Amino acid sequence: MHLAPSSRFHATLLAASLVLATAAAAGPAVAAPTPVPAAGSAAKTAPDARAALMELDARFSDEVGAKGFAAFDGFFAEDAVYLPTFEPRVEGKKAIMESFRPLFDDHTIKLTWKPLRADVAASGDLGWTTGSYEMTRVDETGAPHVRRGKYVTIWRRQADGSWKAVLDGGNPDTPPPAPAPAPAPAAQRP
Amino acid sequence: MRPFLPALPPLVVLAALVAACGGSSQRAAREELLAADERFAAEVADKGVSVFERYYAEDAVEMPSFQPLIEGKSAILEFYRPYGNNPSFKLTWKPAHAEVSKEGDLGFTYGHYQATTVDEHGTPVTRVGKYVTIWRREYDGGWKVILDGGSPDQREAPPAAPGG
Repeated sequence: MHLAPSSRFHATLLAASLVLATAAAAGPAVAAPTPVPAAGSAAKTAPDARAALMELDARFSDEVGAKGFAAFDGFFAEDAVYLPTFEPRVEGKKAIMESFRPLFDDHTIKLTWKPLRADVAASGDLGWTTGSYEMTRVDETGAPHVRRGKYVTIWRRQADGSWKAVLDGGNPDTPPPAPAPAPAPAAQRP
Repeated sequence: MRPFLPALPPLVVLAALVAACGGSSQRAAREELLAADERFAAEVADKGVSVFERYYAEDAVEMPSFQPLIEGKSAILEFYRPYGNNPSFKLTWKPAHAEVSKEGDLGFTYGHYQATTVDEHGTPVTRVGKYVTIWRREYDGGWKVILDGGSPDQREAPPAAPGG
C-alpha cells in the first residue's frame, strides 16, 4: 500500500502510534491526537487504521440490526450521499435515512453486511470499506428469501477522531428475480 | 506524542503550515481529480473501454451490478472485453463531485453514466445510472482507479411481448 514520504520521518514512533491507534479503534468518540503526529503516525499504522475501519463498519451493521435505521444517524455524515440500485442518488443524511425507512418499517426484511476489505489514506482522514450485504425477506410461509450483493462505504475522519460515512453504495450480485406473473393483466403493464 | 519527538519541532511547524494552507490546495486537488475522471470519460467516449487498461491499478476491484465482485485489473479488463468488441456499445459518464485526502494520495469521484447499445432486434437501448470511483495517486503523480462501481437509476421496462 502506498505510504506517504513523510511517514519515513516517523519510523521511530511505531510503538507509540500503535498504542494510539488501538485506543482509537476501541470506540468512535476518542479525541484525535494532535494533528501533526497523527498525520505521520496514521501512515505508519495503516494496518491498524484499516482494522479500525473494518471494525467500525462491522459495528455499524450490528447497530443497525439492533436499532434499525435510527443507527444511521450516528454513522452518516450530514453531507453523505447514497447510491442505491434502481433509484437515483440520494443526498444528505436526512434524505438517506428517509429512503431507508420503508425497508426498516418492513419487519419481514433484515439487512446485514460484513466488511471484507478496507483502505485508508496516508493522512488518515479518508478511508473506505467494501464487503458483502445480505437482505433477507421472510414470506408468509416463514421461508427466507436472500438477496446478496456488494457495497462500498467511504469514510471521512471527523475533528473529534470519529469516522463518518460520506458515501455508501451497493448493488446485487445477481440479476433481479423475474417478476412473478401477476393475477391481473393490468399489473404487467410497464 | 510530543515527548517522543524531541527532534521533530521543525517538521511540526512545516506540517502545520501545510495543513493551514490545506484549503486551497485541497480545492486544487479536487479539481485535478475531477479533471482526471473527465479525461478518462472523454478517452473512453472516443476509443471505448479498452482505455481502462491505462487507468486501472493492478489491484483494482470492480463492482458491476447483477454480477459478483471482480478483483484485479486483468479480470476487470476481461469482463469489459465483450463490451469493447461490441461496436454499438457506448459508455460515457460525468463526475458530479470529487474529494481528496489531505495528503492527496486517495480520492473519490461520483456522478452519472450513460450506456447505450442495441438489443438483439437492433433497437437502441439506453441505461442511465450512478457510479463511484475510488482513486489512488501513484508515485508519478497520476491517478489510478482502485475501485469502481455503479448501478442503474431505474428498473428496466419489462421486455415487449413477442411480435408487439
